[in-house]
Amino acid sequence: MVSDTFADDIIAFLPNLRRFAISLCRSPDTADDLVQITVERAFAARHQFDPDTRLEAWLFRILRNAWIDMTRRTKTRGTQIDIEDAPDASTVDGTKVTETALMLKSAKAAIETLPEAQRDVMMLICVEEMSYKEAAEVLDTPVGTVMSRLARARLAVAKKLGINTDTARSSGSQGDS
Amino acid sequence: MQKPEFTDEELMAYADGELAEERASALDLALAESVDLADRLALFVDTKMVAKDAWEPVLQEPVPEYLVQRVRDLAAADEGTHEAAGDTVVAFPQNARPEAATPIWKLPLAAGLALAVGLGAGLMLSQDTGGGFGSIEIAALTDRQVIAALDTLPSGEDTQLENGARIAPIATFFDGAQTLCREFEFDRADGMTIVSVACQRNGAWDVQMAVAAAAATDTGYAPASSLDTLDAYLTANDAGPPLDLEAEAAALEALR
Repeated sequence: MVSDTFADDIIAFLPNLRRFAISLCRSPDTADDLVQITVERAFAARHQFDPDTRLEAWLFRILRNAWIDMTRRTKTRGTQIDIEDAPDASTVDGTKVTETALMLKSAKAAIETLPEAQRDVMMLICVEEMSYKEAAEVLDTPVGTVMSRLARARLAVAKKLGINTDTARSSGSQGDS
Repeated sequence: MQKPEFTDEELMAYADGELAEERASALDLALAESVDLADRLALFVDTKMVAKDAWEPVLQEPVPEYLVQRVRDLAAADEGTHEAAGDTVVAFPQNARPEAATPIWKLPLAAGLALAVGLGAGLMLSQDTGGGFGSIEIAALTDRQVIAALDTLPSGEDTQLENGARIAPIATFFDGAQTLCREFEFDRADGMTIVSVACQRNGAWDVQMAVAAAAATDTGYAPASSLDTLDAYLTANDAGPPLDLEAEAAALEALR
């Protein structure tokens, strides 16, 4: 039987799918294509969905696999932003931005420029708030590997942002202001 | 003084609420006594907070309306198939076919097409010219295992053949002449994938078209136009939407 909520659940989750897609391909247009492929695959394979698992994790998995397929096909695509082109806090032109906004912009760029494997775990766990186990399933990777990648990702991001063990606490409390 | 040892991963798991309870209790106690430990923990708490905040604005961006519409269309197409299946044994779907159903056919091809092998009834998928892919042959529809798979295997499942190849039916549909057809992928033991459509003719499966897709390890040339080959075939033959599993099972059963 067709479950009535399947389509509604997917629609409700589209913003998250799109966000994860943007982190993968770093081009909103390509991300939208990727989301479209994902929903089409989800409907084509909906009988394979195990209702005892979370739809979100299943959809992320489809999306990531679609991305792998896409990159396999178009090795020479020109949509990826080079690391050097990523927005940098120091080059925001003349606009007055608060320190927090700058920090968040740098943080986004810092995550985007992580090695792919680290970036994916960080997006799924820190941004999309999946459990380690769910992320492991999405990425088809052992939980132990997910954890070591996630730890390395966060240490790297902390370093890029100047959060270190000495300043972590004070920067945390400043964040409230 | 002996300090309890906690790894970065344990501190991270604690920050994420994923540390096993016993270990978490030990860390609770240790944190109270060690500023260093608290600082190390703060790094993981902070990076999560910052990551979440940094990506929050992207979540607030409006989702393009066509994506929402696409989900609705797919849901409507699904319901249409189910109703059709309930009406008769296998309803001819042409009139009821939602216009938006066509792009679903692009899906199974996302694995990457590299080369259009050819079109035409009875094509046996052999190509002996010395192209980059060498000979393409799946000995398709004389192989009893391939025939058995097309006769019985539901779409979405796959089966391994004795020679190391794999066959995976993708979808089953009726073309404009109400001929039962199946789209399937055939992964050769050497890694090349062939996407093919076979239709029933005189009680046998007849290959209508086949497109070779790049192997997973192939980094080579993949013209977007090869996607059009399947589209062109399906459009030209007025392919109906894929049958749902029940209708598919009934249609395959009717072949026997």
